[in-house]
Amino acid sequence: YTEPSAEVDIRCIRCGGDGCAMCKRTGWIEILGSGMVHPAVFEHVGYDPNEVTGFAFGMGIERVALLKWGVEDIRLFYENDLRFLEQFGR
Amino acid sequence: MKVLLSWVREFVDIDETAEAIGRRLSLRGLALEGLDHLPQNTARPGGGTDAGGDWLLDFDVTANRPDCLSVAGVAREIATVYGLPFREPAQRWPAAGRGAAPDPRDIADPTGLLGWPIAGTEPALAVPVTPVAPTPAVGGALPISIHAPDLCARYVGALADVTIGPSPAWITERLTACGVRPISNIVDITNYVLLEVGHPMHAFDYTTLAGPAIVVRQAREGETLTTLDGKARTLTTDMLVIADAERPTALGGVMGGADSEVTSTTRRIVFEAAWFKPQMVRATAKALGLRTEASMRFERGADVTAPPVAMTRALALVEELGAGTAVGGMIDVYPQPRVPRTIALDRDRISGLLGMTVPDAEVTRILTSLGFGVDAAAHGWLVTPPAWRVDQHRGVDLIEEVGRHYGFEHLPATFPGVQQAPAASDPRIARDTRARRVALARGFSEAISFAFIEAAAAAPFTGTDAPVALANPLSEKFAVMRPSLLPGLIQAVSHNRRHGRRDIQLFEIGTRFSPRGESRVLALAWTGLATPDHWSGARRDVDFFDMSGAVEQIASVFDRVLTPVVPEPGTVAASVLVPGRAATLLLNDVAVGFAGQLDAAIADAHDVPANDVIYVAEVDLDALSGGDTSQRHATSLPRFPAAVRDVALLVDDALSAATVRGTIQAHAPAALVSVVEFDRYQGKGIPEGKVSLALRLTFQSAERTLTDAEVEAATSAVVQVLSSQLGAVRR
Repeated sequence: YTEPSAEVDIRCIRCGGDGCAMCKRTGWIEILGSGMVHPAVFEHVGYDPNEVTGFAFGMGIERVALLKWGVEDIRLFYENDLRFLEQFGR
Repeated sequence: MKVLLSWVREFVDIDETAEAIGRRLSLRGLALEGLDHLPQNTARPGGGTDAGGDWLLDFDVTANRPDCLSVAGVAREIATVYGLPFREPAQRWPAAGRGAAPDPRDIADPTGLLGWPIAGTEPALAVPVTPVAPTPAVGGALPISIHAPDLCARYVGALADVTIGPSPAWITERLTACGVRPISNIVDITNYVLLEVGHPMHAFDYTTLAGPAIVVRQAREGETLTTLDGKARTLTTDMLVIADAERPTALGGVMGGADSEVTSTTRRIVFEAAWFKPQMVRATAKALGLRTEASMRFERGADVTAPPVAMTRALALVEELGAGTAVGGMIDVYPQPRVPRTIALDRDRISGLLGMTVPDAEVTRILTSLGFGVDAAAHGWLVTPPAWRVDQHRGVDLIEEVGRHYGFEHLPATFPGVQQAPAASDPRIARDTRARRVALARGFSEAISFAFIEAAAAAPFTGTDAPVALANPLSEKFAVMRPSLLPGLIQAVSHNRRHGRRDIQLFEIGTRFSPRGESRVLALAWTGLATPDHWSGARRDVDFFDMSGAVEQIASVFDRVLTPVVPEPGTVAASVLVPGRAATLLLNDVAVGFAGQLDAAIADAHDVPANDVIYVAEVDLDALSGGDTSQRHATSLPRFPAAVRDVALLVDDALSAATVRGTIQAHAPAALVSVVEFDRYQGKGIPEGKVSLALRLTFQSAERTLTDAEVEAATSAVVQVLSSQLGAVRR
């Protein structure tokens, strides 16, 4: 849906860039995808790609929270277990 | 995709370390997933050795870059990244007889099968499916004919007399490192070429071919083939087979047949390098539950110019390994040669889209190094993508190539300036926050659940509406848009109960869906204690009044007073709540929500422990907050004291409090300013079927203090109304 596309990585929070299982030994973790909206998308919704450009980006907020707080399983954000919810105060 | 550094170095003279290459390529769009040093991989082509061993780089190749599923493809990227000359496979192994310019009478690719769609041509130009006259082989040893040129656009065959035996160490080490099991020289050569050049090849035992001939055609209904894995397959007409004069010998682009397999006694082989239609290979592989390295490459779009290059390389390896000699030249059947299309690249568009200027010299260098043909044109260039770039269709694709190789690090790190009035904030956000705060203050924790749920979970909550079903759900669990937030909340209650939690208060603010549209609601679920357990207080489980009180508080945030009434039969409230502990909540006579005890059957369907009592509620926030909230207007404080009288009445226990209140209000004397039911008693001293109601009546006048006599008279009037209308008896 974007062309050109770009990905933003952050230095692995677990190993600090040295390489570990979490970052598949690359030292980096992908956190965000982005790019210039593809002209075919514009055409599909009735915009002229020669007249407009667009920028799109997105990151999974649960993923960022998971990385920041060391949550072990992303499904915890949807199970609504009070033992998890109550860790995050009011 | 695993590539070995020593192998890459046969295509480009790169001095950098494997780590440096991996890091740099990752920044350029080819992400390194893994890196291993292989001290044991020391054999090199030509019999040499390298004591330093080798490095294995594992790249994450995206589906749109099948050209990088090869050593040559990765090496080409490295050459472009580092500005080094690249030894193009077509030049390293030039196929004899190639090099002539395409005949201008040749048909351009109208169906876009080869990744060269031509803008402006009518789609689905009929591709003739007439058999092409067999091309006589040199020496006449193997006629090859293509009968389905849309499914197989090119077939290159060659014969070789061989002696089957093991491959040398440099071949077996390389194959093993890349995850391919070495078998014997000829098969290993086809796998080696696949890894090196990226084009799948196949080898047949020549003597097993009836005719002998190679007939590339659609399978006939009912034809069978035992594939190399030993399984017998029944074929359908949309599958393409490589057949001999009598029957299928291989599934084109997917897998060879067992009968024509090269064995240790094979003396003459046929090599195949061909181009197969991606959709056909995918459909065949899926229908038969097969997935091979070959099918994967063809599905993503193979390079139609690669077969002769791959074949030349394979034959050269046969010689180099001493495995045999070619018999005659290669036979290239290419009935409808393709002409690549050109794409206009506008200079201003590059800088406009990227936000940085790329020097002309860099544009030319990058694209040329990647294999594109580049010609100067009025506003920039006319660029011809190479045959292996199936992802190049329009200007933006070229701009991405230029941008990523020039380097995103050249992008100025500025914040875009925007001159624009900020958009008004959606008032629903603030509204939801207010409702959320009340719920939190009331002891509820916020849950978030999915908007798509199972059809069975949604069913009790759709009422008279049809469920809003998804046309292509990911699975049965996500088949329907939720008509209520309660299924998700009840599921959460169930989860918590099953993990030992007794006291649960959960709320969720979200959207629910019906065929008439969507609305944003707040839902509550409550089970266990009414107030947090503490030694100073009495333990009491949640009841209807706790839940309706919570809903009242939320409504009061919006200055609304909701009127609870008995749910009408057929409504959602009536079907999901326990009768007698259920209320539909009205705002100005319109139902905006409901509250009550959840029906046990629904709780059970969510695996809630039997006998659990769960209270639920759901209110439409859009309805609560929409419309005019009445303008406040202060009223003066009363100047004269009120008089309070308590009365106890015996009424039928089936009578609802709402009816009693309603009756009083309908006939109330003007002085009556408030009625509160403060007690309700059944049991000792009360007849069967009756209940004692205690009402506190408050009388007040704005003009003067009411006399005792007036107050008595008014009280009697109220009692009289209740007695005559409802059969109440004063105690």
